[in-house]
Amino acid sequence: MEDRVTPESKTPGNGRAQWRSLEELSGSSEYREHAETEFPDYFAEALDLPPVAENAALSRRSFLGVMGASLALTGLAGCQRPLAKILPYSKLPEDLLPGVPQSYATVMQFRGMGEGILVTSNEGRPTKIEGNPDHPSSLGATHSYAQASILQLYDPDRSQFPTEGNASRTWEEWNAWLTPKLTTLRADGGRGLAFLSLPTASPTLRAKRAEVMAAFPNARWVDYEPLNRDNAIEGSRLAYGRPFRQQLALDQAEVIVSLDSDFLFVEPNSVRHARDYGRRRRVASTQDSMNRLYVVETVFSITGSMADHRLRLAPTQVAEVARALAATLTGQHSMYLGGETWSAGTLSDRAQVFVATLARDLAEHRGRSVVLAGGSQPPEVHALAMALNHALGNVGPVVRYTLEPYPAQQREGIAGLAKAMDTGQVNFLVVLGGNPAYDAPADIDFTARMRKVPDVACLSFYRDETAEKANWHLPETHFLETWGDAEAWDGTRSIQQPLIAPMYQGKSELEVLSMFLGRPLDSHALLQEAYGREWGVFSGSRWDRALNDGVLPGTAYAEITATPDFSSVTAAWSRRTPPASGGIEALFRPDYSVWDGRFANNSWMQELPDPMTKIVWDNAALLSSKTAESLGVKDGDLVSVSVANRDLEIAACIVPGLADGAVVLPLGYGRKRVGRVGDGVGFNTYALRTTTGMDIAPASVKAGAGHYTLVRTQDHQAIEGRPLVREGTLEEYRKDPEFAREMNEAPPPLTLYTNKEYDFSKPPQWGMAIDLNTCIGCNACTIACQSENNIPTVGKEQVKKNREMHWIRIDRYYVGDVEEAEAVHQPIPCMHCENAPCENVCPVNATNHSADGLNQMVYNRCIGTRYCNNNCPYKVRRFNFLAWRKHEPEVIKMAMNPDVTVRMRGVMEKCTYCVQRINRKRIEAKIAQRDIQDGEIRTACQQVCPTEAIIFGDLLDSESRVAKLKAEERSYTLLEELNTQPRTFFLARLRNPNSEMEKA
Amino acid sequence: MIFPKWTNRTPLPVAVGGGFVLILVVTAFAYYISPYSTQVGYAPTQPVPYSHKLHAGALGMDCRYCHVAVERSPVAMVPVSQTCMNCHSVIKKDSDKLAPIRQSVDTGLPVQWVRVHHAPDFVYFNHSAHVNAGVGCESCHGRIDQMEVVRQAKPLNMAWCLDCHRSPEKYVRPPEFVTAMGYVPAGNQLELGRQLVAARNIHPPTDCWGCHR
Amino acid sequence: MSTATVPPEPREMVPDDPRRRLTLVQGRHSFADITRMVCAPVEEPATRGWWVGFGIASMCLGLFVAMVVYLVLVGIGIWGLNSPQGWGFDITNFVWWVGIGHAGTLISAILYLFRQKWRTAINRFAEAMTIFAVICALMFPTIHVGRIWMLWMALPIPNWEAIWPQFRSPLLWDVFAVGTYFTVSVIFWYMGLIPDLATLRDRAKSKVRWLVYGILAMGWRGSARHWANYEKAYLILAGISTPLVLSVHSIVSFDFAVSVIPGWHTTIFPPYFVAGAIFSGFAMVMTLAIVARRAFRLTDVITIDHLDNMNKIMLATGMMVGYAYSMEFFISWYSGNKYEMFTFVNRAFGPYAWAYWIMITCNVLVPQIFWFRKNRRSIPIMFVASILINVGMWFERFVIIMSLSRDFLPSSWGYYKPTWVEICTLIGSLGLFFTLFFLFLRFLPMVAMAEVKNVLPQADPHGHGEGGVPPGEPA
Repeated sequence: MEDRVTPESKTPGNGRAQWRSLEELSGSSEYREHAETEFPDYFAEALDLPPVAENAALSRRSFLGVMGASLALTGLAGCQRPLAKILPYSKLPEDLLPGVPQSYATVMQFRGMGEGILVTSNEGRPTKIEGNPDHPSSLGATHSYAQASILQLYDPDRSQFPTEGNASRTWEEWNAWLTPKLTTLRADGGRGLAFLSLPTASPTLRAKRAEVMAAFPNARWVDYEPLNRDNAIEGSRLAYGRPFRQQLALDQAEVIVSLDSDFLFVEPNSVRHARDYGRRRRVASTQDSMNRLYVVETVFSITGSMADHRLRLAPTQVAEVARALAATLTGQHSMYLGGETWSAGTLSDRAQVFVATLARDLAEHRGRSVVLAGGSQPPEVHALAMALNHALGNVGPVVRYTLEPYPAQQREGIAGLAKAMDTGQVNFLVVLGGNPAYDAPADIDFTARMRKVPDVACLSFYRDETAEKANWHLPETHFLETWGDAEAWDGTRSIQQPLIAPMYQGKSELEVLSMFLGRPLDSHALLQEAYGREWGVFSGSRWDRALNDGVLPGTAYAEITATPDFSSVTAAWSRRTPPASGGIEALFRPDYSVWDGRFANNSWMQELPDPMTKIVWDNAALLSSKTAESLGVKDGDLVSVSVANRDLEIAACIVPGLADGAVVLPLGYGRKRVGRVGDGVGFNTYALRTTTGMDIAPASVKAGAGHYTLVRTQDHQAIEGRPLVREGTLEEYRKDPEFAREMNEAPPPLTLYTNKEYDFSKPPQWGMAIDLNTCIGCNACTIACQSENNIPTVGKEQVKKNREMHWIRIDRYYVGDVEEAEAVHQPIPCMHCENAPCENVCPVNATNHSADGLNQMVYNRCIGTRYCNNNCPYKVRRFNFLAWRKHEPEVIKMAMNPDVTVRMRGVMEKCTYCVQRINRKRIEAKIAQRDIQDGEIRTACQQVCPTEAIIFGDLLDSESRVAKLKAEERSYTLLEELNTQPRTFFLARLRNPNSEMEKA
Repeated sequence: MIFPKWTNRTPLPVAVGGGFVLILVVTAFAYYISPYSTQVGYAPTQPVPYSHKLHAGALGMDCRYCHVAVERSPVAMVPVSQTCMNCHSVIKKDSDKLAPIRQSVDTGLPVQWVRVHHAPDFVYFNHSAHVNAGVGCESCHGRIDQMEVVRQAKPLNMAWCLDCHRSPEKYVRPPEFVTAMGYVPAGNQLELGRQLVAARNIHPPTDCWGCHR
Repeated sequence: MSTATVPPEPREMVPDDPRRRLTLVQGRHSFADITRMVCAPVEEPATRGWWVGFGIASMCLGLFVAMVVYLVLVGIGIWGLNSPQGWGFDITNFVWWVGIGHAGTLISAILYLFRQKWRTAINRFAEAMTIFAVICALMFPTIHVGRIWMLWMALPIPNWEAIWPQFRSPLLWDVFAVGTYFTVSVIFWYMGLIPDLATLRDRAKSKVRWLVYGILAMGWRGSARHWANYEKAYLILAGISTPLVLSVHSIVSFDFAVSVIPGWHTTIFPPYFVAGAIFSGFAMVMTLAIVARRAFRLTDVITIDHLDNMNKIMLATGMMVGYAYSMEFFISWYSGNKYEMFTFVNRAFGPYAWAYWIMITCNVLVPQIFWFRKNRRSIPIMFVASILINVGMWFERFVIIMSLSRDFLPSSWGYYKPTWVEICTLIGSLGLFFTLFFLFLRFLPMVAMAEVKNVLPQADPHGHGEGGVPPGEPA
């Protein structure tokens, strides 16, 4: 590590020693003793673990960030010269070329499924995650969580070594403790032994679990994840008698009905759903058609914000819509639901019109529509949705079924376990991965139960709420640190190959289980063993192929055809208790930033604004303005929500388009033991979540005392009637394709400036298209950009001062009245104006234009007058008001992209169109003496986008996708009357409303 | 009479002299902070007294034998210890000077070379781009083949870079001569250069983002 | 008896009928009296009042230094600035100080060219005030970048990167405009000082004094040729600095006028800013003059008629400013540009309405009292008025800069609140200003003795014996 004489550079080592020395810095003394035995060498070589490369760019860049003054010195042509070291390898790992990043295929497990990813590695440091185009659940895109998981890897608050009580231990000591225990356990088949784990999509791990259960037949195994799919699975049991998993082909659906189903983000396989949905949303000409999306939901979800028709209803009312839908379809459209008769419940007039129109639309689109029930809806709704799909003939063309590989009922599971713990039937509890002490249902009071268990061992990523109560805590590896495998939503299997040796002493669940089987092995050996068994004989070539492609072909689940048992569905509905009218219903839902709480210590996610509320670093009780009014609550006031005699003081947030008589409680905040980022952020809504009301529960809300500061990245919600986001209906578009351009306020003005200074006639001339019609506002681009461009986080206080640093933000405006508001999203990166207002006000030429039309920002030239941002009509520039990275832990620097400067304080920065990617490709092309192909360069935001809403390319190449989009009638530029000539342009949003809905 | 008569004559000389001194100081300072005084000639002692004069000069080894990445990567790559041992496991196998190399190969710990040519952190220099465009090693590193101890031969300041980026024809060579030392163009460099630039479509970036980002 | 021979009131300072000319210096003072009066504060030991004032001022200066050090060490983040709002107190203070720095040169140069003899009493410390105000002004662009060591890049000096500043940027024009203005003002001021410095030299009691004043006086002997050269040079410099008075603030106004931001992008700015500058400049001269003439018993030299005249000028410029305010509104409506319209409505009724109405009150309403001769000649009224006007002029700049908080995209709207650091910096800059001013009062003649003597009755070739002082008495 050059440029700096730190402990690392004094004690240089091969790759592994590099982060071990970080470890030394963090002062874990017993680390060194076991460092040698930690990883056998063949393991390291299999990983191609490279030492610090010649340009240990990490330190080169971070040097800039850390020692600001040195920049000034180099700026002054280096009056002094830091002694810089070059540390070459002692032996070059094969197929590694220093300075050239490599990309490896692996898989991330999330929401009980595998999502294929490609990970960029710079001299052994994984720095960026992309989707794997060959993976069915990704097709090259990812969601924000996958993007942010890279930061998780370098989280300094990760648990780093085993602990017994509060004393640090080693794995040897753990084994020494475990072995005698196991012998006694084996004696009576593991009676009193209990495992609590997360559901997994890894077949190898499932096999290993089975092995363990075989070895301890009397042990009990429970799966629990706070955000589980119990309802869907139970629903399928009702409808088909068997646990089915829906495989959707949304690109085949003309009409999509979402019953509180956020299939574009929250539901599993959302990335694929979004891609397919986007395909049917894209219109190139007036001949093209669009699908139509009906959404019935309580609070604005990402899916709801895309709806053509949205009906806001209290959570239990959503089910009533389903029932009414069945009634109308059977009654008026002669649809066969097992001949059963359905009676509509009581619905508001608006809801009745909605249902009637929707039913007609569905009836007209048999076989080309789909009804989706959300995970928070009770089983009977899922069952009915399945029945409807079958009756509408959608099963086959749009919906296909495969068997649910892991249909454990988690709610019962954890409740049963708790009972067992209570009655002393459990004397050795092994928690593998989860965090029940934090996220188990409140009525279980898992923490209290744990005290009744003599021995609790907990394998977890952080020394979290559960781990600190357990008498043994074992550090878990990050998925980029260990071998494994995972199945995609459709079952396609991927090998999970590590990108880096465990940074700390973590082990994977697979490895820990192998200890319970008495033969501890590392994950690599275990996995090859497993595949050896599966393939009969282990084939190296086949293995390498799988690693290279990231998928094992032909491993998808077999499709199942079955007919639903309509009577059992009706029976379930007859059992259903009609919702109590009046009163307030609480709806628990995952948080768009921290999910179920596992990303609570991830500063990227904490600072990522909620797509709809735009709140950062917090969650809040979401209320409709009417409800708030009736309670006498204003936005930001503290309210006390009580569910089943449990109270919680939480800040209220008033959200347009939210159903009256409902309070929505995002989960995952109020962590106590996770790390310096997440501790004590937000409110722990799990405190109100009980086994009987995991998703929906009757609640009461009353105004509390005091006010709480909720920080939003966007304070002003209305668009002030300005033609910024231009939208129309499909009909309007067909009548007048140019409608978006006609919304322009003024005719293009004359300008005093001539472009003589810059000649934009030579290709390439870069430009970016953003299709507002397909953008779902999921924030993936923001995080991808943060990861690609080393963008710092600034913390709640600074965001409050409007100092967030995101290079691409997503503006969200509400249209229409507050109650029945519609929402629109608009991603705003730098516009790269040809007449850039920022350029001619900079006194030092720090921002100017490049020959290929990029608006350049040069950090080492910027003196920080901030005039450029003042003069930017789009306010896309971001200023380093303080040294944001000054207090960042050393290890975070490993997450930096070495191709992008880490900015110091007092410097302006902004979107660069990922110039580092452009330059790399340009140089490659130059060396190969060829032209850059269209699509060869993809910006980080473009690459991650699930709906392909962002397209980057050469505007002069008439064949390029971006040029074609520019030619479309829907294309327009923002504030064109200012004649800034932006290179980033938008395609107007289209809605596809059902004309009959207006008539009615 | 407060001041003596001669004081009447002081203003002019004072003004002239002052101006002269000022100019002198400014020039001196400008030179002092210039790369010509701060960087050119910087020749730190290396942990291993490796002689380019011997290897590249006398033995005539090609640069790319050791700096293997230079054509494919942004970094030319200081050779891994193993590379040295390719020969030195046979020749001079137990010379004391080579002790650090042998040690490195045994322990797997790198040799700590001292960086000589040091671009600031915000400069993204790419060796492969330059080498493939026909910029000779010599053009930036000087007559390495004559250096017992490597020293910085060129100022490597931005104006110096721009000189070539603005008019590459003054410096580019045919690809086969890129690693040649003491290269003399066959004929007029400018004409030759113009042909090369045209033939290989060389137009180096003069945009800021060509090198800074 | 002298009063008996001249026509009755009203007398004016600039009459058509020379016989109705008002004696610019009240009381029957000889040349020597003038010298004594003006030199007294410089030669006699400092009063307690001076020490108190100087003490407070230099404490504030200390505060200023502390704030700047804090800023340079930590960064701009310690101020309240944010993303839509890149400028706040910093540039407000800059423009305010530059504006104040206008009166001096205007009084000495333009009034000189217009042969306004009454200026002689006030031009000296008006110029001093100008120079100190410009020094304060220059502080803010310097520190507002935070990393002040980078500033050299904004100067057109040869460098090893072969890049130059960006000459299209109004910020760079500022560097030149304000720089030139400062240089010329200093030279002009020093030129005028030379004869008086010589007087001080000749009266010096201690060796140090005569050495220092001697060197500064550059061997001035008051010979006829000296006077001839002096007059010529003074006239030329006056000619040079006159256009500067107009150019500087026009260029400062370009900082806003050339931008695209609604509320900034306005053609009326240059004249509007110049008028405002003169307005605030006079107000500041007023404030200082009122105190100084009382404190140093110069009421006969800086007479009530002087103050009256200055009040008239403030009334005039105040109405120009008021006109500009209304015209801005009219144009924004007339332009039909919805962003413009929104900005101005927002100005008067938006989150910063409070600042806007303070501005209107202080700058447009307050000066109206000067329609009445009684108010123009009442010391307390004009003192309060002058201070209010300076407050108002500060808010004018503040209001303009706050246009940033709500520009084109509602999504990026914000609100700017200054932090204690910014407030302390503003107070500190006042400290810097007054510290310098107190030093000036103590060590330099605050009234141009030589020039005032020129306007004494006995200096009038036709007025032999007037004032009862034999002509040619050595002063």
